[in-house]
Amino acid sequence: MSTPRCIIASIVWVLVCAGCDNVVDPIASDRNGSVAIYGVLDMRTERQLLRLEALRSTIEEAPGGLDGIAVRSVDEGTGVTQDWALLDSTDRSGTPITLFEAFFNPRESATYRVEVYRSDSVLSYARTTIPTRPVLTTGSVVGDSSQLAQSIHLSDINGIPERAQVAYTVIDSSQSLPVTIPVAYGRLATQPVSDLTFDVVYGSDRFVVMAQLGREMDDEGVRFHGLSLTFDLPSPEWTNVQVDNVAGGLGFFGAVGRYSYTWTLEDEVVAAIGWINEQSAQ
Amino acid sequence: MLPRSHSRWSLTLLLFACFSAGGVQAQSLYGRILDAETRTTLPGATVLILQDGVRIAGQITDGSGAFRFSRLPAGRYALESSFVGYDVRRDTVDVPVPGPLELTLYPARTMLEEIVVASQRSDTDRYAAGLEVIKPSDLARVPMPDVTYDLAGYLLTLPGVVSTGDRGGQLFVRGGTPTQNLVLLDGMRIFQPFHVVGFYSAFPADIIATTEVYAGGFNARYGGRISSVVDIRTRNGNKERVTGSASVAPFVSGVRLEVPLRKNEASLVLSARESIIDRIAPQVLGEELPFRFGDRFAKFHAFLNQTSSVTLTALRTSDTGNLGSTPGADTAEDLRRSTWKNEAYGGRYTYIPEEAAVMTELAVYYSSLQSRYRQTAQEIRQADVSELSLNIGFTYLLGLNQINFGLFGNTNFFDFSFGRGRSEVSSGVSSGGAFIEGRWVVSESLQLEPGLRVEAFSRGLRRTMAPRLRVLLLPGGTGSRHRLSLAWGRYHQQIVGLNNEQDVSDVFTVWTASPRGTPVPTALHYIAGWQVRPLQWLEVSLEAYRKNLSNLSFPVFSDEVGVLAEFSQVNGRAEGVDIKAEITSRRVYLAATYARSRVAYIRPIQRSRAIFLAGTGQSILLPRLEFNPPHDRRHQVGATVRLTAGDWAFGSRWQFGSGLPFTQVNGYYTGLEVGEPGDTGFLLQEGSALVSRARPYGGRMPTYHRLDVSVEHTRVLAKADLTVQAGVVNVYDRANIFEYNIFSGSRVNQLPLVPSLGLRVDLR
Repeated sequence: MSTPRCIIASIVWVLVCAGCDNVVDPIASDRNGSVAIYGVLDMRTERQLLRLEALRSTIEEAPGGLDGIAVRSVDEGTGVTQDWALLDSTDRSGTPITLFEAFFNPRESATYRVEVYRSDSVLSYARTTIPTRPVLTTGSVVGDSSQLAQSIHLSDINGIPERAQVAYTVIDSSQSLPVTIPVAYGRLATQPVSDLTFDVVYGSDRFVVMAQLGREMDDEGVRFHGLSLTFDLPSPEWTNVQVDNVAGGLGFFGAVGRYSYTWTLEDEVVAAIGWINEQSAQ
Repeated sequence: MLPRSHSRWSLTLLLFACFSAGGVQAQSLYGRILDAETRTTLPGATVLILQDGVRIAGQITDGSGAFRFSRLPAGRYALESSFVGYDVRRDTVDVPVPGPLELTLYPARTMLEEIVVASQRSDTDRYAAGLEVIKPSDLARVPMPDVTYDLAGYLLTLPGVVSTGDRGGQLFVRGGTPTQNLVLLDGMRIFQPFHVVGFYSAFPADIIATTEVYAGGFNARYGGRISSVVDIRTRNGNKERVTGSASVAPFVSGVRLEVPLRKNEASLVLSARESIIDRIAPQVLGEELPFRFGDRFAKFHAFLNQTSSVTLTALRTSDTGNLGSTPGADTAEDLRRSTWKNEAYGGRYTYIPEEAAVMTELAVYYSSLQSRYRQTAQEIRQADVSELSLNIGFTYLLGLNQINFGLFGNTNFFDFSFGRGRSEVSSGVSSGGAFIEGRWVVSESLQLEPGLRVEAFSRGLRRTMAPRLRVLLLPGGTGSRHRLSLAWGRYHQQIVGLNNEQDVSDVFTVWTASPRGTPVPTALHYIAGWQVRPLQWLEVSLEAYRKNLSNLSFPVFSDEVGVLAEFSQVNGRAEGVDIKAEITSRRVYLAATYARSRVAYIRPIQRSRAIFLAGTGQSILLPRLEFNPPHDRRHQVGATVRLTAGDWAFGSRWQFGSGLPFTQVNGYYTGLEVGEPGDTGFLLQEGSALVSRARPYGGRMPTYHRLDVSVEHTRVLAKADLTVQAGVVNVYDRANIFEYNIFSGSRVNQLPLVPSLGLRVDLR
């Protein structure tokens, strides 16, 4: 066959072959992952939860396709592995969902990997690191009366301290047992920070405590036993949507650390607040 | 002296008399070209002046069929007038000639028995890089499911023109998007120039006199778009007698009437078309085709005197249809329904003074588009745009050379909203500027067309300078069989049309000014063309092009169903080669085309923009991305055949296009809204369905190919021509895909096999 005829024949062959193909393949052949993972490792509780869902081919298709799936977590620092248990669970609308649970307390600064596997073949895994405990430094107490405050400096933060609260342990003059009354400080920053300074305002917190106790503001019979600062520190996955820590799937896998600090107030400070200092009695 | 063969022509003017005594003075020669039978003017006709067999000047008639040569030394000249589909006319004139010439041309019926078109293409102005000059006779070569023809159907046969399907009226020209195409009808900008059934233009074919399609590299007179220009000039009405036509066919039926208001001086053209396919499809095809469209056109033209004329033009169109409908599917009819209406009105006054070597044109245009799209029962998006423009143009005729200079001003108003209580956005922008372009015939082998367009805007972009250059090389002079052509230009688009290019069934387009503070879309065009006519009946052309595109707005994928897209700014490049071979004879027309192209976009790292004020509202950081947009058709092959034998004609068109890109998915899942940092309550949410997309536009749709055929017979009656046409669209019933709905997994195909039978009556 001459060259022009070969060319023409090749073109016709290509057209015929290409023209016969009329199937749309909407699912990527090299798709990255088959499982949606949503979960959080939470220092605030022993019960850890992970929600799984297999990716579906169409939107109308019912969730499923997780038969034989198992989940385990690995503490990458210690190598300790823990199997997770499948729960019979529903979402808030009553629709069945696939939820796994495990009971353990995540360690500060530890990196955990949860693996979704079937017959020892890992389909997907996600990794997160429990935030490191920030360093707290107390500053001097300034002001008086309702403005009496002490600056608190937190360093080595990688995130936004959330749900901060200062808890005062006191004994009402009419009671014999101490009670702990929290005063909410909320979110300590508007965007992720590495360090921050804020004031614990003892003067105004006293109003909250006294109101909770049901005491008059000029009541001088309240005995102060101590205070603590507690806050949650979510991992960077919560604030940075670009973090891609789910391999072979998609979704969200984050961690929450909870940290508490205590320090002692000087006698003069407690007196300035209007309470009787019994910190040593704790 | 008139040749004997042309003695029947009625030269009414004194071509050979009144010889002026001032022989050494430069003189003017002017007039107009008309159809000898209908006395309609012929815009785009060629007029050549020769002396001793050597061409010394040449011109193309303007929109009124007028021409003017100035600074001609007194003497005797040969005058050659020609127009595609007409016999060539040769006269001898002695300059000076008192008053205007009125040259009539007869439709080619007896002469040029074998070759009709080739001789017309001999003029250098008929071939230039990126330019396709379309005559009414060309349109008839493309079979349509309709006894009338249509410009849109013809455009789809051009290499480099890509359509995403036969609905929606979206044409992509050499990598440009539909909103980057400038479509002018008698100078009026038509925002949506195609009907909802994509192979119909917003105006009928039988009102068209000439069409110039610039696939790129267009002149400085055109602005405001960065991809292509379709410049349509309509016919003037018959000024001698009432004539017209009427047609009935499944897709569209129409009437046209031409009325001389004052004999040989003023005429009126009226045209109306209306589709009926939505009403007869269930009976004829057994399935729904929910598309309805229509258009109304009127044109008044009058010669005020021997030196001036006035034209008034009006166009109204309406379209409605559910582009994503699946035949036979039980869907809510009102959902996903698109409707749009064009309105355009224009007036043009042309003045050709007797002595001065300058033609003046003053024009005022108003154009508007109203679009509506019902996404859901509660969400009706609306977008209106209007434009008022004033143009003044001057053409200086300097023998073979020519200079065009124009001033223009435009005011645009935009108004859009997205329902659901979202606020309505109204804004406007004005612009003004000037252009100058020239034609410089350096030698018989070289012609240059430099140009410059300067435009300033009331907001956004401060000022643009857009240089243009076109070059024509004739290696062997005017008689050369080879022609080389180059075009280069810089283009800006301040008024942009934004739509969801990810969804072909959603053609809803918001026109607005480029957002303040963001660079406007810009393009650089490079075109190199070569044309050869190895035989009198064979013409082969090859063009390579490249368009560098900057600052285009492109939607950002949303993982949610039915959520309007955010936008990003992308840069891109379109490049390719178009090849066309045409065989033209009296009885046979055969055209074969092949287009190889590649369109690639690059999205730099950036934050998304909510131009529509209706997206997610969250500006997200977008990574760098390279992809091929959904109109990146790599290969396109076409073949058009028309055979005529006596009163019979057979036409066929076959098209093949490689698959268009689309974005495959990894799958669907229940997305949970991760709430406040540290709040784990979201794990038990009901959630919403989300899609996980694979690499953007990493997949390819199946190929497209379709064969259309038609047979027509014309019976010549005493006072009318009666034409009956039978045709079949999609002869082998190829299930060409129009849309694949990745959310539902359903596909919507283009037209199935559709038989048609049409009848047309043309009054003579």
